[in-house]
Amino acid sequence: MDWEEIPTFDLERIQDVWMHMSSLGLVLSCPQCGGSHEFIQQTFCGLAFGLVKCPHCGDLSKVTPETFERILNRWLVELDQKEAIAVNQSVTQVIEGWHQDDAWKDLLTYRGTNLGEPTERELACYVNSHFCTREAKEIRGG
Amino acid sequence: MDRPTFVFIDVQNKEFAPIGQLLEGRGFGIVANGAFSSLIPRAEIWESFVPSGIDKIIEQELTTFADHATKVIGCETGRKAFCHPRGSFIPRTGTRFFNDLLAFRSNQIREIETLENLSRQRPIAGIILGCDNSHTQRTLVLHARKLGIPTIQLAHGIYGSMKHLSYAANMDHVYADFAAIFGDRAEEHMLLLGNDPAKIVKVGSPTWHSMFLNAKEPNRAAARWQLGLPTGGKVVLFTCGYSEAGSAFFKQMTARYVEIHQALAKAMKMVGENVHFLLRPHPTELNRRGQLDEERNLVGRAYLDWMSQMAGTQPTLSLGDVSLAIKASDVVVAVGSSSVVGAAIQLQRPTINIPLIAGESPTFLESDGVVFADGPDLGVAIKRMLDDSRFREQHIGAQNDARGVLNFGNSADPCGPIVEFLVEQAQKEVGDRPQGAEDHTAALGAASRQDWTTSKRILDSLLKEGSMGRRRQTELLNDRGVINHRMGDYQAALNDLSDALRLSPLEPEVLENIHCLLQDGRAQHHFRGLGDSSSMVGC
Repeated sequence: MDWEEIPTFDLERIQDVWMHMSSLGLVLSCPQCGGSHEFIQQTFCGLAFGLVKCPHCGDLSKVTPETFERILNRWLVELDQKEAIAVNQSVTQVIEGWHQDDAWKDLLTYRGTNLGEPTERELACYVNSHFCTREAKEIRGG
Repeated sequence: MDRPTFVFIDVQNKEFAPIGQLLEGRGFGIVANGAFSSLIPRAEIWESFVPSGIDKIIEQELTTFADHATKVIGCETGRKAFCHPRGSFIPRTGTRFFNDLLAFRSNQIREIETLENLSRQRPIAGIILGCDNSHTQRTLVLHARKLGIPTIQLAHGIYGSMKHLSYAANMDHVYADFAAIFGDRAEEHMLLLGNDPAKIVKVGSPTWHSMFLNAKEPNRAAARWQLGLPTGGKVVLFTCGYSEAGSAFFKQMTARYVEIHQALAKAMKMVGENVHFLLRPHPTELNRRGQLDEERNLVGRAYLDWMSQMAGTQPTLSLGDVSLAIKASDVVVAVGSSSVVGAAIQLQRPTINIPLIAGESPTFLESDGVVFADGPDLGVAIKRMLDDSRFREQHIGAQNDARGVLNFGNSADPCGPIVEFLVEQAQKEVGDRPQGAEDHTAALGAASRQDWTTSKRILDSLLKEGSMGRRRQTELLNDRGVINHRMGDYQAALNDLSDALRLSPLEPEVLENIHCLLQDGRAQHHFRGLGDSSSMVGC
């Protein structure tokens, strides 16, 4: 397999995005078979390099840092430093608060330990998703 | 009952193995998960204590939980827990959130049942963790506390005080009862980030200590030969981290890593062809890819080609032992608070640090002998470090002077003191262990239920404790200020927020809350003795 021969990922394939703990998650449609699948972009030395492989038909495309920058510019909201700090504080507030709420606390507790609390780090990305990503209808409309 | 046993969970670094060996020599049993168990002669495997029938227990628990959770999220009181002035994430990512919560719950129940099963068979003297913030690690910490078992995290780096980048449950918070940390610098950062001083145990780094003892073997030429690098010329090692999507800085950080590589490519051009670059990804990036080897290699080659196109020279990837890569190099260039800087200091290599984000307190300082460079200055700094032997020696000398601060004394094996501490804790009563961080969480939980009285009572008691880091004190004062505001005690709110402001003049949350307080008509009425005017501003 030669990297140069692999076609570059087409941004129009993205149906939706979400923040995964390690990076950005993409909901994609395959240009070959039309099937829907998900892909989590990862990094190499902090740079977005990745192979998107359709699990249905094996269609391959590549993501480079340049492609990923275009994805982020399209799907993520622009936050300056102050806003980003405020969002991080909001994420923390939600993710540290919900499991202590009376509606959830007893349900989450197993053998006397609240199992919601230990999940904070790994679930924070879903709250962050709400604050940081644009909705699909907004992208298609715009 | 069998002999008291220490449990090692998710400890990765082989340099921590003497802790298990020494404890075994003192008559304790050892149970460990993962590959670490193979490093201790008579260690038993954690997974062998998973009780039979666990899958059935988990299936029943998850079915019941999913049923009830569906009902709770279907009613207003359940959804209210996720409400925020910026809106709720539930409509957009709620399904993914609950799917992961269920998967995590399965792992958590397995860990709790394993711990309970083990504790029925023998007394557990303590749990030693490689890290304490994943869902399974924190579950063990919380459940061990309920069983009266002490827990300690073995720090594997000096956690940077990356306050701006921090979000819930980041690396900077100690959840275990204790953290065995490297030295004064690490302590300074942990206190600045609000950790309880009673949790901190300064012992030094077994990894750095081992590196220091073996700094000269293999020598530079042998290390290069082992890595297949040219033995002539100069070698620069570049190591880099990655951005996490749990933080709102993800987009900025992603762009920043591209910018850093552009600066590196320019530096590579500037220093010339006789200098070889060795580029090293963060180990986590390689471990989590879940790709076939062929795909991983392809991505690695693509990265190298991308860099060589920008730089006009062909670098090499470093994927193996970091100490060998450092030994092969003449200069180490690292980004942000990378622990590679500390390792390079131990191995007598000059280091250049590229700041990751403006406004953060760096882990390493210029006074440690570390050179800070960015953008066009990076090439100049690398070139000078390579060409000017006096400059290089001067910086290595300053780095050596800093070793005591970075790595607690740097004179003895830290595993011995860790063992003494563990044995001492195992003999203590449960009530002697610090609980402060969890109480703060309880205060925030009460506040989220609008139970202001409980929240204030907890915050009052925490603030009375006195001995704590500046950041923690700021957070507690800020939170109590907000609670006092909500309770209508405006003078107390102003006092708390003013005190918080004095401690941390640029803390955005405190500034915002003071602004809110001053905008509040009812507070103005109280302060100025004026008539009641506008409504409360939501802080």
